[in-house]
Amino acid sequence: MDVAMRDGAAAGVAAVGPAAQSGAAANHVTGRSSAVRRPRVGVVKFASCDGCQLTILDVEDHLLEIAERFEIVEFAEATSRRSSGPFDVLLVEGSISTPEQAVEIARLRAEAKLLVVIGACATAGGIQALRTAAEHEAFRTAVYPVPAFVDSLATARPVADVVHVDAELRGCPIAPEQLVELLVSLTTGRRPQLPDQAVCLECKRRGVPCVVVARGLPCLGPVTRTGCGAICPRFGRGCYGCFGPREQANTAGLSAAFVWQAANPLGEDAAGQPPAPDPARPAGPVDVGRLFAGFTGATAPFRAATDALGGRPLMPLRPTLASPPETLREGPPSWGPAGTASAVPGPGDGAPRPATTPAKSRRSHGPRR
Amino acid sequence: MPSAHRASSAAAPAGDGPPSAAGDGPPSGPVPIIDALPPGPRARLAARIVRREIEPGTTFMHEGDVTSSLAIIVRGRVALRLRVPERGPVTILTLEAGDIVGWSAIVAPYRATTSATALEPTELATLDAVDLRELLASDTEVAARFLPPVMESVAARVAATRDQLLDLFRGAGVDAW
Amino acid sequence: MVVATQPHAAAVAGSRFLPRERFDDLVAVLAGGGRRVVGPTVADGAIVFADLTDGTALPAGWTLRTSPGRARLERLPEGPGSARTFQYAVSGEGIKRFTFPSRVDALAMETDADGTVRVRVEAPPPEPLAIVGARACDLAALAVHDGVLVGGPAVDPDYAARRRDLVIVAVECAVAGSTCFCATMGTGPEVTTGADLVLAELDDGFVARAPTPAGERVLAALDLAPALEEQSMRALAQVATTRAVMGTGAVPANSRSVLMANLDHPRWDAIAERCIACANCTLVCPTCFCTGLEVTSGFDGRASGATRAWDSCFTEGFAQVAGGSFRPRPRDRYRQWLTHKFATWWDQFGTSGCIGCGRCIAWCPVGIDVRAELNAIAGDVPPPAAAPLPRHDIVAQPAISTEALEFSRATVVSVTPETADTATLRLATDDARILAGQPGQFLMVGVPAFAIPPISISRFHPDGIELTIRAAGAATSFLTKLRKGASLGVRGPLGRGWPVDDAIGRDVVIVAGGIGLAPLRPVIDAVLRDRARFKDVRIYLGARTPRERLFVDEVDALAARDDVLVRTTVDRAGPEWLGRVGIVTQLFKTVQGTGADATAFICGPERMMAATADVLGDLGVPRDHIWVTLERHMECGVGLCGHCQLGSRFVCRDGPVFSVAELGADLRREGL
Repeated sequence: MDVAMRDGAAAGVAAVGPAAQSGAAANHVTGRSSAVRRPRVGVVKFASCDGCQLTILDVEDHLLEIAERFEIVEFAEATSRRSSGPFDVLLVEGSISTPEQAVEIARLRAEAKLLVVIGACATAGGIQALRTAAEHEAFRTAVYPVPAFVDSLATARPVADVVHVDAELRGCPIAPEQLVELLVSLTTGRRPQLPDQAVCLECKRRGVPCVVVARGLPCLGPVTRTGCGAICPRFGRGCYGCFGPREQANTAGLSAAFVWQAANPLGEDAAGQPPAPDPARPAGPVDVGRLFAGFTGATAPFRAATDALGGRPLMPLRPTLASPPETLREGPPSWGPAGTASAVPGPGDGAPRPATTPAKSRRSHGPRR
Repeated sequence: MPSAHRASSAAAPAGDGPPSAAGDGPPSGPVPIIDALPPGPRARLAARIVRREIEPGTTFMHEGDVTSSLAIIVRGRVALRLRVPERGPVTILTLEAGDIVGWSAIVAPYRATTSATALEPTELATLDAVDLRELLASDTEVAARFLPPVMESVAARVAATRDQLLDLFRGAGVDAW
Repeated sequence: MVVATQPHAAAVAGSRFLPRERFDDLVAVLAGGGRRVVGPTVADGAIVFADLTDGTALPAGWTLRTSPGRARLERLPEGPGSARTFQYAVSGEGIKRFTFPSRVDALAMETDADGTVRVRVEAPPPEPLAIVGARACDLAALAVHDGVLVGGPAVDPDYAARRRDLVIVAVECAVAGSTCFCATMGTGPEVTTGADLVLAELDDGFVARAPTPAGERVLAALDLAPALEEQSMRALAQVATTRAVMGTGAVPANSRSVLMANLDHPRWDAIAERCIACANCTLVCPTCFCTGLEVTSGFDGRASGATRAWDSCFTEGFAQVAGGSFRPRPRDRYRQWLTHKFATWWDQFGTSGCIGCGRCIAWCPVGIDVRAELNAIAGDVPPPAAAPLPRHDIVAQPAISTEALEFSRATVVSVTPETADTATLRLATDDARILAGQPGQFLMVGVPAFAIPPISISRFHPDGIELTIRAAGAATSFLTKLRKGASLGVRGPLGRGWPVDDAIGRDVVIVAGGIGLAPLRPVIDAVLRDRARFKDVRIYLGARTPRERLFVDEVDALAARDDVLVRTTVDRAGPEWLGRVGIVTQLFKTVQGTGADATAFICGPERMMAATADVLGDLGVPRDHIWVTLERHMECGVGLCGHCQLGSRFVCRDGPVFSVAELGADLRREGL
């Protein structure tokens, strides 16, 4: 049996189910299904795309039962009703990417008995965490015309880097089956079965031929945690690691094999030459390194592979925007307190103020690589 | 607290039953370790021994203090205790007849690493620390014969501590079932 | 070669010839009476077994080129043989999926309205099946599975049912892949066992022979002409060429002894750098049989199912118990796999666990080649001139029996809290097998929605038993919270218990650490019941803290007896504790008399048991009179799931009680 919960999570899970509230053993004997009080569930998001929240609405077969057994008190994607804590269970989507978010998650943590992070952003930082491997400032100036409006941390962090997390559901997006399994485990008091083994086991159980061996495609399945049902290999493409590293992920071993495969393509063309490069297959070490720089690329084993081989996202990504027009270069000096909002436009006002300070200080943060 | 009552009853010497004779010697029995030495060293050490009776509950060595003597337990039981921040004293080892208390008397900086408290009426054979160090420095035969059993005793405690540490650090938080 | 081909030639004598255009008729005959027919097809860039309605889905014109880490489909060159349908060596996953599916329903558990727990063992009704295109290696693997799954004391009902009505049409390999080494392992390429019909493919059709009555009936229904001698000779020459191309000696003939003598070889570390522990080798291996239970339930937890799914010794969870994993490093996992296949399988089942199909080589994403690893570990040691080849014979199929896996019902009579996290459940049962259990045996304990843990029996009564359970995980937490009247499913008694008789006329030494006293309590009961037959009885008990001592009143009562010595120590204690503090082995130093005349029973953490066995050994207690009980991950308890494997043993079935002499170095090798 695999342990996917963080330390102490089992106790936390057991504490919120109706079984626990009415006495697990009594419930077991009498078969009472009466929940003394339905657990209060909240769903909140930080830097993310909402896809994982939408997955909650995707478990149609179980929606009614979930609604019967849990009181959903906060869920922006499903209802406009707003409520604050305390929460028995708080599902948190998204990474912590701004100073405000860091403050907010700390507040929510204090209101949540059980904090469950959902999705690649919340568990591993997500695609936005790639900025930690690059120059945050360069991204900022490259992407936004008026970077000073963008107040963000230099990193996008998984929630567990900021507050204690009781359990995590991986994936981009999360697997509906795993969400249901978590909720079932909350009501029954059992430990959710969220295996931390490789995707390969699921491919083989489902009879999916290995895309690495049969087609020479790169696939992160061997080093990625299962739970997705091997959805990518089932459709003939390699796993891109959205569930993040499995236990003991030997990314060095896997990338060494991919580098070797790239250098030793199989077969030959009609003229007896090595086959022409295939864009679906890595051409060399940098391509292999880049394979790991995806949704969960900020996790230690994946990042180590990228660092070892190259393939970090290099700046500038969009050189034309690296030097915005002079008039757009300076934003407001600060966000300013609420009382000054009318004087200092916030982001999205579309009314950048004229530059008040020389622009060169900001330019000094330009791309270095 | 029920567990404390149980502790005392389980630990009572009467409960140890007859197959063992250990720890039940006469009030001034032979001194372990010393008596096993060859006649010369035995005589020279025995001449320096001061026997002490310790009442149960008496702490005769204090953690951090200069160790005044090295003692061999002749009879009784002694608890070695550490003061743990925010938890108070914790017993980490109990010693019985034949064990050494106060090896720090002959190892710099000559300060006790634990406190020692008698749990039962205890008889000690003590050797003054300064006196013993001088003897060991000047009498190579005594040193050669007496230090190995002391080392053995210290080594056994290191081994026991190691096992306790392994237990302490073993995979916490993993639940299989 | 001579040995293998002579009987083979004799078998060819009665051959028939199946023209290629009549292959559809073969499928139709097989499918007669509603039999499902499966065979190789091309799908997803690989050769995959799927349902056949005729011969059109076969991989006509395809071959499979395999090398370490690669298995690529290629078109056959233009020519007379370009229409061949079996012109490849081994398919990606063989036939295992049909006799041993990756997921099957194993148990249905539910709580009735009156609170009674019912557990039902699922076994499918036998379904007539024909498999077309199995190779010699596949059949050898089937024979290995027979030995494991129905050849032992416990029968896997699902496998037995699927195996019940199976017709196999085998194909002798006309080509060998670079990863094939069946000739070395003595399993092919000639088909010698297990097939009802054997085909050898020629350009224009198949030479067919029928080693079994079922196969003869198929041939008779097809009404085929006898094969021409020339056709038979071509078929023979073809498989002989396959054998010659493969050669023999791919792995050292003495792999078994070489591996066991090199368990600490530096090569294991080198392999671990490349091995990604992805488990693919075990999952494509046609003899690997390890499974785990996946428990599913609805929100109310009243009903649950348990699915038996392929598992792998390459995962961390595989060898996980409450204290951690016995094989935390991929190095340990690879060593476990390779030594099991080539060495300890012999001890357990009398055959090699490897049948030489080479799937683990081709389907390893990083291309690790077991042949190269075995040769590297063997080094320059010259192999013996001739080693016995493994024999893989299909065994007679036993009746479909769920007996080994059936649960009975037990009711909680009382619950006694022992410590903050441990409780003793007294259970009433009328299961005569359980009531007749031995000290040291255990039960699998099931309640709906939870995993099914193994729990030692801590006392026997005329009308029931006691289980002392520590809340180490969700399932055991739930069990410790049960109340009087609760119902649960129990299966057992399982395993080999403590050999109490070994101590008759001798001193008895009992050493327990923590919860380890629970499985030893029936030993104490048994010894005291017959006290006069034993000499001195000494009991040494360790616990982490005074609060974590078990059965305190009972132990106090024991200590008051004058015919038993009881010594208790704790690892650490507050000042209120006036008893001993220190590890349990320190208790021995003040005790006289324990020696050659003693039998010792030890239970505790594995490291504690090893240290205690050392101390007792130093005191002169013979190693074959020092008994320990091992803790391992167990899903089945009867030697079918593979999780508790230790060297050549299944801890659940062959133990959990072993003598230190039996275990040898295994006692420490994978201990926590």
